[in-house]
Amino acid sequence: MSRAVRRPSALLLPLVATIFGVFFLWPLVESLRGAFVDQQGRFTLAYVSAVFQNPIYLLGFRNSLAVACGATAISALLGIPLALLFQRWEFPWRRPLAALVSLPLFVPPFVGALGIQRLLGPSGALNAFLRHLGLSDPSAPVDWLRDGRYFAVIALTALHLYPVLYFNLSASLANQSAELERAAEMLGAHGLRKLWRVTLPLSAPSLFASLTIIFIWSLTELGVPLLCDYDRVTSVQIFVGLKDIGQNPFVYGLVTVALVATVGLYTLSRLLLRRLDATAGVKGAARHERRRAGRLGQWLMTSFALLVLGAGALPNLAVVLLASSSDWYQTVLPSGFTLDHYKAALGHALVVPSIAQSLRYVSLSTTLDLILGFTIAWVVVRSRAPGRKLLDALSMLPLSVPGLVLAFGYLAISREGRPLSMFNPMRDPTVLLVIAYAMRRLPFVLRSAEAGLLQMSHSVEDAAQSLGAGPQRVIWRVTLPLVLPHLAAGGLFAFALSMLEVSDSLILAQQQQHFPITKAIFELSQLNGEGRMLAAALGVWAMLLLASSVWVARRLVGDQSRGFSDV
Amino acid sequence: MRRALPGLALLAALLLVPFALRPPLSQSNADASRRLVILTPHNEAIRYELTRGFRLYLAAHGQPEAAIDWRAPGGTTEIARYLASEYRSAFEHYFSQKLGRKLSERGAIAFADARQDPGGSDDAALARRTFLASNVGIKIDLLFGGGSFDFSQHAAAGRLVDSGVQARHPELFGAGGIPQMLGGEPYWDKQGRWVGACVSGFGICYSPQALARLGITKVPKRWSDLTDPRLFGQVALADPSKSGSANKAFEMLVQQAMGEAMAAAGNPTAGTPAEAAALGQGFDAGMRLIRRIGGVSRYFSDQASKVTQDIQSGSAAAGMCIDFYGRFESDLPGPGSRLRFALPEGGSSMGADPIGLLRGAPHAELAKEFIDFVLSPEGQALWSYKLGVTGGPDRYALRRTSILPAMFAPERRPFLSDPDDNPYRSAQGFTYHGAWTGPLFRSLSFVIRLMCVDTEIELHAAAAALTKNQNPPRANAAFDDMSLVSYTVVKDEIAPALASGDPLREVALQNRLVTALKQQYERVAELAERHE
Repeated sequence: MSRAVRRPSALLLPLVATIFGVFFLWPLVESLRGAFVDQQGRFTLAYVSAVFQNPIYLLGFRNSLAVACGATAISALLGIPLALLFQRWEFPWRRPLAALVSLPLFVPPFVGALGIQRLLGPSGALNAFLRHLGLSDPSAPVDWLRDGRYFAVIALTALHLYPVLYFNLSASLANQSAELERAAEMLGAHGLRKLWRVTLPLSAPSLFASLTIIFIWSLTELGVPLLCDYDRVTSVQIFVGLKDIGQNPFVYGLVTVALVATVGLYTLSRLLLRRLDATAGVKGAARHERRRAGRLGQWLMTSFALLVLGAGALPNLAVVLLASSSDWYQTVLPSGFTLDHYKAALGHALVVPSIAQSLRYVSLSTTLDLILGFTIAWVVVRSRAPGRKLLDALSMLPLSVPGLVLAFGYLAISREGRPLSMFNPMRDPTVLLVIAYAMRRLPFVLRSAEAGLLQMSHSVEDAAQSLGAGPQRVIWRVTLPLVLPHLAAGGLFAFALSMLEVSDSLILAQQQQHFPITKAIFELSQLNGEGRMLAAALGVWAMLLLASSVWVARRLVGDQSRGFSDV
Repeated sequence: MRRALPGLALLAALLLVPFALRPPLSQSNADASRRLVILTPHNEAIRYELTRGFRLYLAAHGQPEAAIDWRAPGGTTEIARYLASEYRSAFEHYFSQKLGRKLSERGAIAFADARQDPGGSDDAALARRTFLASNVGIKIDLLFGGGSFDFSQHAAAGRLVDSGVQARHPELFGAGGIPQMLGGEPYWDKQGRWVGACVSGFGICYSPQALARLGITKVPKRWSDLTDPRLFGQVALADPSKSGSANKAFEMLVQQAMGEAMAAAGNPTAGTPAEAAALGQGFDAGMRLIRRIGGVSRYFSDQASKVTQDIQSGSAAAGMCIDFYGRFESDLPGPGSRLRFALPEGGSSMGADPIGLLRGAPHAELAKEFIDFVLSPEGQALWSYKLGVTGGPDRYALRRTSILPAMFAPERRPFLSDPDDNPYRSAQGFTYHGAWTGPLFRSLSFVIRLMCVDTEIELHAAAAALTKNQNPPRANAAFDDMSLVSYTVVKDEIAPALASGDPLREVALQNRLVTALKQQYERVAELAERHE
């Protein structure tokens, strides 16, 4: 390790570790304290060990693992071919179709659930369609979300998450040098052999990063199993326990076990896949030209992309239809259309201030994520500072912490008389909301940044140093521009998901003037009567806002950075 | 940059639309000199109407204007956790300032524990005594909305204090006023720490179309109608472990069965073995009925709006829902025709939706004025009057039921949204016996959760196997065997464990019962498949 790396890392590691410790671990410990204190105020592990004596919770763990494995496998089966297709081949409608990949990330989870029920419920659009074809018995419609709910949970989770893999892999493929593949072809490796032995290994860090995120996200996914009324998975059991009137500390024992399991699985996967890091890809100057298949091949590619993207965008489509419908029951499409819900939702007094607040909170939290994510990734990948691997593993924890747990932790550390009382959300929740959003979405930026750094050859930075550039100049002029597509892909996720964050917003933003957009949507959805339609209409507006923001970001960043404009 | 222009134009247009549609700000009361902070799970419709109504009320009484700062951190369970953690922190701060030493962990648990005797000399008693004598607050004045069970818990913990409303308005609580109990439901706290602001109860909602599709022609009128095997996977229920009101509805169901068993036994004298036997049989019959309903359930939800929404959209055929959700949704043009609502015959109770003054309220006098307003005819009209009538709501018909008996006077009938929903009349047909199930209230939700929610998959498999194999006798008897959660077990084992305040004892019991119930249901399915 050169001095150019050792000196900054000696400063940065304690700094980011302190920030992470104060704003993530401390509130987490405050919130989970109840799991380790008995009625007499003494330390105990009894609540944690009791989790292992409950057969329902053990089954919940097993099911969560199975869902995570299934969803990760399906995401890989959808995301890898799709990324290869869009990056390496030219086919009809490639550009407009590429713009649709991010759609599953733009729909607020509870609004998407309303839409999916209209599609897949017993009186939903799919059954109406099958009835038209004579394939369904009207007196005994299939209950798609319930009858096969275990598989529905896996499929819907995968369709929601495959863009994570797509974006990371696309960024990696776009930055791979074409020379290596050409060399492989000259040595006789073509087709699947080239893919398996050259292309995918070169993108191993990105693949590992995104598969890890998908696995842990699926393991802790709450929205999809709740939608399917499937409560025998750990995330739902925790959610149900947190809302229990009795407030038994047992649920915090369950959260603790889930957290330890997440870190354990992450560490295990890193150990198993450690060798992949060493095979980091090389970024080079020679860019891949997209190839053209025959006419039939091209249309097969378009059909495959349409099928996957269409399935992934079903919640978006359903929400748009629901928001525009006067009624939608046992028909393929709504029986009538109206714009009244949009007018009522967008004209509601809650909405305008919440838009301004959301943009403020999320732009700040995404910036914080980019700074923290890049800094941690740089320390982890480029330095040998002691404790860096622990920080790396701990940084994945936010994925498995329920938003409610963290939100109550923030409340605990910011009350009157506590050291962070100046951030008390009763006065103004901005600081805590920005931190909460940033902490919960940090893993996305961190994994992307790490993948970018691993894929970048040290020799480029070494060359810059040998030409006299100092450490700061190397980072600013060489490292950052080369990992920009990866950072942008991670930042995109952080931005979109923070805009749609629900649980922190519900607890921390209590006064109407501080509500972010998700809390406004939630408030509208609680109104009797047309509340759900209003929530759907505001959900459509939020989708459009996110889609156009990302589109603009792509254009702005993409102009300067190869790769990101393609993802 | 030029490539981004179309996107930037779209972004600008999207941001402009809400500003263009924004309503005028004339209704804002943010400039008022007086300020009231209210913690509530009530939705925007209620908050809007009561803010407007309170402003008019103050003006009519010659009082200076006041702004209401509504705090809405979620539903009743989130609020309960919020209050618990906020008061703990505030008290820790107060304790260290007042006594000059740190509050021990034991004291931090005991200060808000109703079971803690404040008279002792240890840390716990000192903490409890200090808290009850203090004016420790969390800068919030009122807690508004929830169930009487939640409010009783907060009152017992010491977070709510006497608002003096009974002394200021004795006429509201005397003869002809709001009764202290109605149909087994408390309507106000005897120590004045909370009072019902309106009432609500659980009823049955159903979709006539969905029932017809399933071949069910009889309209569900009793809870037992929800056990029909043709409803398998189609009954949407409320989770009694998440809502005190939902648990009350299940308690009524059990009380009804106990009443029938007592009548069948010739109403034996209290305290005799015959009475104990009849009550035990009735309790078990009630729990058996709940298990049968659980066997065909779709889910037990904690979201008040989910049940009516799912029935309207055709995802469920029938269920239990809060009355005002059922009434409001069934009136909607179009989708409303797919939802019907009815209060169940003989098995319903109407509970209070309370308001209470929080300890250490910074604006206690204004808070008391607000309580007076909510209980006044002007405030009560906002809950129950039709939209647009004089004195009624301005923008949202709330469809709630008034708690004031005077609001049901014949001359007010034309103004009421639901003139036939009178809790004082419906309660006459049902006698609640607090001694039968009152002490078992928490045990009831605990048992239902273990019996129907935690073991849902095995329960459904057993119920499906029974129906498929036409209820073979041994399997049927095994399904109806309530010995694991019988009246005796609940009374002598479960209730004391829950009351002990020892979470470990509760968890051990939970683990043992879940395992045993799971095995019982698996055994039922096996027997049914073997046609035994």
